[in-house]
Amino acid sequence: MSKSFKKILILTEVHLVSVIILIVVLFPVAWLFLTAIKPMAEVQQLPIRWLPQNPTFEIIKNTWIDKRGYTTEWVTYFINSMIVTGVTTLTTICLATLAGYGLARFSFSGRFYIVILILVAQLIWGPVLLIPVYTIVTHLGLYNTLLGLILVYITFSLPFATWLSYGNFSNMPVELEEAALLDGCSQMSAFLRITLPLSKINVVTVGLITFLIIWSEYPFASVLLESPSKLTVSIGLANFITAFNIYWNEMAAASIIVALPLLVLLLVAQKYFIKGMLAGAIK
Amino acid sequence: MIKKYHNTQLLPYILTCPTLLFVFFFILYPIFYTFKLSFQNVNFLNPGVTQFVGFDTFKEVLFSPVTYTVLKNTLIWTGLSTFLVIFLGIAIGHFLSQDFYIIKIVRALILIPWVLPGVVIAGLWKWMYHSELGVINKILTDLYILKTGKPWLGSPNTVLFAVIMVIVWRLAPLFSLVISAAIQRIPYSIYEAGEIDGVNKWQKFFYLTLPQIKYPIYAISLLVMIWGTNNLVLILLMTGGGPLHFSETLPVYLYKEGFMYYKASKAAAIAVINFFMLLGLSILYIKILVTPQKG
Repeated sequence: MSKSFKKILILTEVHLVSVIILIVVLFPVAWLFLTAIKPMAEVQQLPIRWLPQNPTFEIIKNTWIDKRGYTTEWVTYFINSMIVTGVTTLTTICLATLAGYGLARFSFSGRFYIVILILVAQLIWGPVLLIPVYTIVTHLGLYNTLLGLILVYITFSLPFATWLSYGNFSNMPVELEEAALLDGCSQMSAFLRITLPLSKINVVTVGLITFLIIWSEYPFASVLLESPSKLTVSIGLANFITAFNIYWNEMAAASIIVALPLLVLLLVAQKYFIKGMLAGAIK
Repeated sequence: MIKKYHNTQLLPYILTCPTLLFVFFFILYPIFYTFKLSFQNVNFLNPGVTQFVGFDTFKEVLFSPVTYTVLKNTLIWTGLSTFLVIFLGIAIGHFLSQDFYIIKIVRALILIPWVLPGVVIAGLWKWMYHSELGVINKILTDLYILKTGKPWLGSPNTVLFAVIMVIVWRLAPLFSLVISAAIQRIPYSIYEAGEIDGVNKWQKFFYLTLPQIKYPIYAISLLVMIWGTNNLVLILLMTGGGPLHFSETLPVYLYKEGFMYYKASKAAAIAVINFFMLLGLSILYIKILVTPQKG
């Protein structure tokens, strides 16, 4: 076998496998878009056609604005989700950065146990806590409020965010700060003026991953919220999915609304996502 | 000697205090509360009545045949999805570690399934699995793999595997990316030594590459197990645990008992079982991944 023939063979193989991977990964997403631009008659038509015959953006538009021109409940859901996710993300960034810095830079008694506690909290957090968290939030009088959900979400994201920023600060050299301390800076101002500006990328990573996880959280939102004016996008969508009669094209249109912010984030900030994931999995 | 830490006593406690307060109030106390609740007979419909019943609730859970179906499902769901994610993650990750232009494109797009919200994924796959209108049946019949479409989520034989495919679709791409990054960080000198010894393609993979990515693989396996054990949204929204209990896992069981049938104490007892599973996996995680780095 000649060398150039072998090269062509390898190139063909690489392209073939790549295309198969891309089809498996992207086809479902493409199908979601195709469903969202089909009228209901076509969605229920047999045999199934790959492409819509009369593509329409009406369904996507009607998710936001109904036929009489009023905004729909989805605008409310979207705003609620933005508030909840935004407040959670900002609070998490602040608290996790401080805690991560404290754990990475100081030797104090109980430090190791706190690190382990935070790691275990990160791994255990989930449906196991649904019942007690529901009870506690209700006792606090925060049932069916966005504040209650925000407090729960902050707790949800703090452990992994602290873990990420702890890893980041552990890997940063301490010498710069010491120089600042010698020059008469206080501990906190050395942190704020020297270390924090140097770890901008990591702060952004923590924020992005928090946003990603909180934006579409479903189980806790479904348990802690009730009235239509308080719901988040994930509950709105879940109501579509579990309805007795599912309007698949409307569900797909709503899905696009729910997924869009995250797809945009992935587009503009891909390297941060990967960096954050690698920090979590490879150490 | 290089000093790694500062010598201030109070500051670190102040810095970690807010985070710890949240953890104590919304994680540690709730765990304690779950244990307490599981020894009582509380019903959400009738929250005033609280009685200590000892192990009665646990007996009710452990002697129920549903619990065994659920535990079996949880093991299959977690075990099979972890195996498939790791297997595909290594295979695809190895492929993605090559340097070709098209692979750069694949790497850029492959994170999409992970970034999509769980609720969206559940709705989308429920639609694709639809017995008459679903596109999966169309693809399989068009390719002559099946003669007629199957009700994937409606049949006891296929439902669990159908939902496992969804979590694999979601997680395998992410982990293939992690694996490919780990493979790319392997120093080239290792392979040079191998070339001198004349290793073949498979030997190169099993004896040179694989040992170098051991820790990421451990980390991923445990993370997928934990995420799988904890995943509620996919199954709850695609099948609701049905038909009957054929796709019900512990979190779904817990959710239904607690928030559809309002049996708070029964749900708490299920949560305790689920908690010990997670604690076991967490201890493994710390033993394998955190402790070696200290020493």
